[in-house]
Amino acid sequence: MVNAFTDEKFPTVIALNKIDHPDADKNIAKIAKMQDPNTIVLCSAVSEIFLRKLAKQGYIRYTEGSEFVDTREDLIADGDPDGGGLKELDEKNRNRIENLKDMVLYRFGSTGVVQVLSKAAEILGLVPVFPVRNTTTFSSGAGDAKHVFRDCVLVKKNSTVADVARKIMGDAPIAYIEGAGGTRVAEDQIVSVGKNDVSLRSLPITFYC
Amino acid sequence: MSDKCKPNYGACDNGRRSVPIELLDVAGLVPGAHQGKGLGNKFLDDLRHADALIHVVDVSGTTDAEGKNTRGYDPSVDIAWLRSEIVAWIKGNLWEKWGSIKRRHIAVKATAVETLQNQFSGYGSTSSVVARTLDKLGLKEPLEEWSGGFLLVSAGKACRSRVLTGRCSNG
Repeated sequence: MVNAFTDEKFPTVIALNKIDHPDADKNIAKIAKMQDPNTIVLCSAVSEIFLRKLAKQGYIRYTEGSEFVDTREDLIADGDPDGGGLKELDEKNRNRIENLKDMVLYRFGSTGVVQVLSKAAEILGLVPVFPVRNTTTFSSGAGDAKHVFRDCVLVKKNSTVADVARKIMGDAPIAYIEGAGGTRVAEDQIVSVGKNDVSLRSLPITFYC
Repeated sequence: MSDKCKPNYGACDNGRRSVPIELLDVAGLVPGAHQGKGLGNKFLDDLRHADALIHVVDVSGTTDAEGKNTRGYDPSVDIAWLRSEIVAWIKGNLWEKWGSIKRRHIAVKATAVETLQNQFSGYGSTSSVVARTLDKLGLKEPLEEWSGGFLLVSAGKACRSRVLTGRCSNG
């Protein structure tokens, strides 16, 4: 019973770190056999830190969580004579980048650090909810009509429309709730991804999932 | 639309939205924490605020049980050990008072969910979490007939792993 409760209350992501180490493969294989593969993420935190640092200093172009790293040379080879405005890497760092691509990015698809958080959100079944003030422009109001979907809250799976309303608006009374096309929605409806574009009438706040 | 996406918190990069998640770094877990060793229950106490746990395991095998540099350490035992520590903590708290929990359960004719939620609320549990747990187990025996055997006995081993706990936050 306590085991089952621990599973329910403390869902756990197992982040296997230092995957670029020569001894890692056999340990990964062993753990993969013992644990639910859906809870395991392979990662190299040191690689992610290195890439973020070089990107911040203007040496490379790197999107966090992706497998692509572009250096000045790469961009010039792709036809951008300016190399994206990136700085030239020195020999040492160029080798480190090449190594990192071979040992981590190409083998595992990413450094895995962002994936650890995505996996945690996935096992919790978190649903992103975007509260907006205006349902045609998706802006947040308060004089800012230029931008869309400025806020996002994560709610747990199986949250109802009423749960979300309370989380966003506190105890403000709700007159009624409208779904897409102006149909009424019950407040005990479950919100999930791609479902329930809902408009709460009382305060002009709407949320989209 | 993508150009106009400018989050108040987090980022929007090529149609990928990053949403802030609150991370708590929990340090100081040592074998026997459930018995109050090391930071002991303080460590475990930090866990209960979390929605999910991230157990960061060093798979290079270069950190041994005492946290010293080595080679060839088997990190697979760390995973079972962390879990057993949590289970032993919860079991210990429950078993210590099981006699009186059972008496009260019978006296007030409570449901198993009510009785257990009373005990588990401190871990940030809710009735629905307890109800789901019991549903999955499908136990036949009523609570008053449960014995210590329905819990796993723990076995511990030292390691140097870090546990991060994630909690979803607003905005």
